[in-house]
Amino acid sequence: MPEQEQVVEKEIEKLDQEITLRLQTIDSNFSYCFRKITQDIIPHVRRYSDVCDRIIDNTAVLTTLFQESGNLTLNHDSNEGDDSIAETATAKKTDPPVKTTATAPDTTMQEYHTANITSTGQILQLPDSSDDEDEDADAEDTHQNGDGITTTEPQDSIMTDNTHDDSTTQRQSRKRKVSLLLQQEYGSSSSALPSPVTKYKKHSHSTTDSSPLKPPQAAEDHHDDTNDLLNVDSSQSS
Amino acid sequence: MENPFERQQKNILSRIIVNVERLNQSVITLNQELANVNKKNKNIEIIGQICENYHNSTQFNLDATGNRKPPF
Repeated sequence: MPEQEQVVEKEIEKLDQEITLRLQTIDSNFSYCFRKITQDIIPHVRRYSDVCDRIIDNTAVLTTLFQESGNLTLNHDSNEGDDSIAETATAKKTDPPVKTTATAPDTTMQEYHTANITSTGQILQLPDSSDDEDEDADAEDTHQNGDGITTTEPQDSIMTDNTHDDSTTQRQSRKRKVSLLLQQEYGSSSSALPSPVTKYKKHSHSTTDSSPLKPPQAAEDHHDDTNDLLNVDSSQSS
Repeated sequence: MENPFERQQKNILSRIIVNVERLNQSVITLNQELANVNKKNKNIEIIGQICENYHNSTQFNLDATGNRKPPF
């Protein structure tokens, strides 16, 4: 029996030696990986990033050129979430109206938020795919700003999705209020305007349809400044 | 701790732990460097696409107006 024990003990010792050898190789592999990464890979990547920096510096002429032509801000460099970096090309708000003629159809520029300038002097921004809400907002803005006011909404990134629905509705409401105030000031007679005007007025105050019964009663009840411009005919009856 | 093998194994295991910690740190820095490089590459990619689009639109414009001339 002690012979068997001796055999077993020898086996155990052999296995122990193998275990320590395996551990040693594991340790050496880990240290080899660490050495490779710190001495070869990270410096190589840093040199590559330096070259990329030099490229961007040398092409700064083109970036400023296209930024100024399109009222963009390229290379916004905003960190989003967990280190997922995405550059945004946002559009600035333009200055008072710039009238330019329509250029050759920019079919190739559809991927970016370029300022498509129409012949009427209004700057329309056509966001690219999956921005239907902004397209509707732009369409509404161009209808309501019939006086030639050109305001553009800042666009979101190319890469990221729109998450500013509340701000666009706020901007729409602000623009509607602005258009209303302008109509009150100048008493506009353009044909496009009565429809948004009647949209926000009470239906009883509309004098375009000559109904002699309702407006006089409304004129007696409400004496707002807004009604004085519209109820010109009704004042004669009252 | 009586067996010499166990002693040696614990010793090697402690070195392994130290090496793994250093390796983890270096991998984190590598990840940051690669993220920077990725950002710069995206910018450069955008600039390249802008130039390409401008080239295509100018070519189209010249073709439409008929001013396109062959190379020398």
